[in-house]
Amino acid sequence: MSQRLLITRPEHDDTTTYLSYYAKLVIKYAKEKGVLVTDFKPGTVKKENINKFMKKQKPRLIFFNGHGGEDCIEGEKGEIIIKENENDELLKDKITYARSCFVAVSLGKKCSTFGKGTCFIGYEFPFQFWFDETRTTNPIKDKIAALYLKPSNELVKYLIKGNLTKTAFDKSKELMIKNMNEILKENEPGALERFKALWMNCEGQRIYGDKKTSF
Amino acid sequence: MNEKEKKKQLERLKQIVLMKIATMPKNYKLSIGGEGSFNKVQIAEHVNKMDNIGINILDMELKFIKALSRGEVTKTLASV
Repeated sequence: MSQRLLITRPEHDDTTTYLSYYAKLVIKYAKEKGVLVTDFKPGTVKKENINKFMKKQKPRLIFFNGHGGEDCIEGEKGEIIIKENENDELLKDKITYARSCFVAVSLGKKCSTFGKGTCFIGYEFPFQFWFDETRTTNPIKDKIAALYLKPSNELVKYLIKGNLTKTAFDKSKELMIKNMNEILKENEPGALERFKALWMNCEGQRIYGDKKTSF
Repeated sequence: MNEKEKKKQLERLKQIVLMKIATMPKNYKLSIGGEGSFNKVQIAEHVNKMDNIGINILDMELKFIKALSRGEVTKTLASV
């Protein structure tokens, strides 16, 4: 199987735009590390495109960005690209990280039945983050959002470095906890609310399947 | 817990959320996945209306308060 990374980046609202911008940082890093990257850019994250690509190219690592549900991952504007019991076999023999709400509840669990080499990391709660509305034209410069999105970017970077899936999972949680401590040190209004959102992401992050596989 | 007590508890939870949300800077928005992103005024509106988004926000608050009271948050913070 080729050591290829597939990234999806729909952009149709504030949430997906932020995820997409931060995913671009992972793309840059992966390319620097010599990884073959296929970037499904905004406007191209359609079920047909993704499924065709996954069947043909069999990427080992998949980084989904976008909305989701307990049994599905979405692409452009609510279009379901992966659905449990419909095309979830596409995730077999893959390491999948879905930065999407609720996907770990059922779809993620299902991946644990696919055997060795398959791993799914996602969220059981809504993936949430605070952001600064005055920074939406350049989300990378949004220091508030970075506290949530950088630890999740790091998860993929750890995988690209060749770490075991469980190690990458644990390291990203450690980074979230470090950021929680940073928020608590601030004497800023609303710190507890920002802390809560990060705590929910940390608590809701789940790993299913092969925890000792790597990219 | 009877219905009256449940209603009272829910009202208390609402007040906690509204008071905490009021402390957020006005330019900050919370992204809650597919539900959208909301500033403090919009969050307060959903909580007051008790629509799906408002109920989800209250549910998250309740999960957080329970975790705080069980010492889970402290344990998490001390784990790194």
